[in-house]
Amino acid sequence: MIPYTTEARTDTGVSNVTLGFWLFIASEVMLFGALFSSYALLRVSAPDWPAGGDMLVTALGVTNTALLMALTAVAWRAGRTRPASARWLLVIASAVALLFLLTLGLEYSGQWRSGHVPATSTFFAMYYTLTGIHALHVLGGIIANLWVIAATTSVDDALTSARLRVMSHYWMFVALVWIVMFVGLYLS
Amino acid sequence: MTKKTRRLFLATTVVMALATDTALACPVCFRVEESATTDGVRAAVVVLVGVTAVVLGAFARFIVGFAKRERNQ
Repeated sequence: MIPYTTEARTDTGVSNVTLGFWLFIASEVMLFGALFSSYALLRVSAPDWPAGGDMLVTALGVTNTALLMALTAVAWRAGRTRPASARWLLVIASAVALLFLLTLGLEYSGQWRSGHVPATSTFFAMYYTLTGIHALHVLGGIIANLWVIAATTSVDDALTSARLRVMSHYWMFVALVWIVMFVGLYLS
Repeated sequence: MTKKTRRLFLATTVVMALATDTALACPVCFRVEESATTDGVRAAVVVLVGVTAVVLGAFARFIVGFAKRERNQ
């Protein structure tokens, strides 16, 4: 049994769940920081860079942004609700996340049919790399959501609440990364 | 700072001062004409340093809080 999963440690001032989560987020920030740095390098040094609106379907990007905003709001609410009610909110959040992946898949298939593959240009190589890695995080979030939902009956409410709070922060991070990507790829 | 660390720091500073040209001779940023690649590298460095500073700042804040809590106990 891992100690201090719900109550704060006297030395760190936070629970192990919270500390582990923030360490994980720090590593994720470094991962996306490296990707955005590569994007800046390739974009600024390219002799010609296409406008995102001309190459991508902005409407789908806007749809996905709205979906992630809604998802974050639902997950945030789940993190502040009693575990019994929060289960359904997490189910809704997972469904919205799945919808996000379907919309992205729709956009991918359209681009692929138009002959826009990663090898087409540096722009598309960055587009598929950034959105693909982000999509993996959305998929990971869905799996984590399902794990939290499944475990609500086997662990106590305090631990479930701690997990729900962590998930709400995770989805907020995923939405924040998407907004940066959306501005960098679709709007500029 | 221990005596050994101080000596190492001093030796590094001396080597850097004596070999400035070699130390700064990055083939991308220096010794070449200003180009789009140079601008690209600068932008990439700014983004990465910015992100790293935020993460390290958060760690520093946590460690300072840690030290304060330890003092108050």
